[in-house]
Amino acid sequence: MRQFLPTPSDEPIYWLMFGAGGMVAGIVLPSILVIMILAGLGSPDLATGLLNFEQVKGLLGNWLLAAMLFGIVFMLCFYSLHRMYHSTHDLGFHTKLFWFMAYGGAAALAFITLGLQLLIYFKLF
Amino acid sequence: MEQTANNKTMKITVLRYRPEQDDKPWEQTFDVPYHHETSVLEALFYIKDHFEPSLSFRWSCRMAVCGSCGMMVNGVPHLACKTFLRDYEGKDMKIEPLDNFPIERDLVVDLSDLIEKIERIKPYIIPAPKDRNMPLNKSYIQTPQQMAAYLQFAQCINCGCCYAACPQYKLNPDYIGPAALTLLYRYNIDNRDGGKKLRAPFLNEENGVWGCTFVGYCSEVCPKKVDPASAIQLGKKMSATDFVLKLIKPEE
Repeated sequence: MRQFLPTPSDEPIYWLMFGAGGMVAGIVLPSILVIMILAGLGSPDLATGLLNFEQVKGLLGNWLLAAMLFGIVFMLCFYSLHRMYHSTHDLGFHTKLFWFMAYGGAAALAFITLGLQLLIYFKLF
Repeated sequence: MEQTANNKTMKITVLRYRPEQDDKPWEQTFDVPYHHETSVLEALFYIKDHFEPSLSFRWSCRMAVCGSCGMMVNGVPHLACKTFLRDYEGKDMKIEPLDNFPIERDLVVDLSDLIEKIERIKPYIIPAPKDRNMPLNKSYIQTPQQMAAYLQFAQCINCGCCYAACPQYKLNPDYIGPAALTLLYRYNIDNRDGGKKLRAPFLNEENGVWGCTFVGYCSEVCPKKVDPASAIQLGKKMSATDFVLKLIKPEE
């Protein structure tokens, strides 16, 4: 019998975010895709249709929608890279490098998204 | 085994290891006659009776209750008594001791790591403080619904098949593993139990539920349909809830 008790893992933080990302990937993303594809098919004209350039830029420039979109993209990046990180463990690669690549990658992708959103919000293009 | 009219034979290769004679395990092949009802265990009896009296393997009940005869059949963990030669018709068969455990002799493995882990997680009902002084002539009350919650996870016979299947246990022998974590969860959700806090350290550690990456092979090979992977995922939920509650209300 062991004399000392093991220390708790901090994995719950990652796992809860992974779970949230799974919900986003399973429910939120498909519904957005369905709506967008239907809108595109319903009025395919790029200049005057539902998804014309100015309209979409306006949607992305709305701060509330932009915040939601950022959350969705971040969750999706985190979710996919978290799973990939654990798959490298299953394949027998045990190096801290993959930890930095996975979670650093998720953070980098999120920052790139945020950068693009700020560009749109401040009407820099 | 009685000889039947339409006698079929199967080429069965058995991994042998006799520690006092052999440097490393080696393979021995036998032609075993079989009929529709012949199990792998009976085929091993036939080999022991007719070809190789020194062949060692564990068995007891012959009806998938005792959990003694776990072994690898063509690389997949099975109970020998519950696996039939008819399902491998036209193929050769290879019988090896359970993966991920040290071999003691022939098909006998050393399961002491599994036993120690099962002991570690306290797989018995620990009365809650309010029940400590319950008179001996009074019984714990449990509804059928409360029993149904854990019944599936209580079917484990400790055969070790899930440990032989688990890639995490192969990578990290300190991982508590499917059967022990399933039992941990089974006692935690039992309404008569009050020992959740004593088991929490083993549930919450890196080698507890968080060592699992949900490959799910344990549930696939489980001969009793216990579904350890599901118990571990539910255990992760329990551990994560515990984690968040401790953030909100740290223990004194």
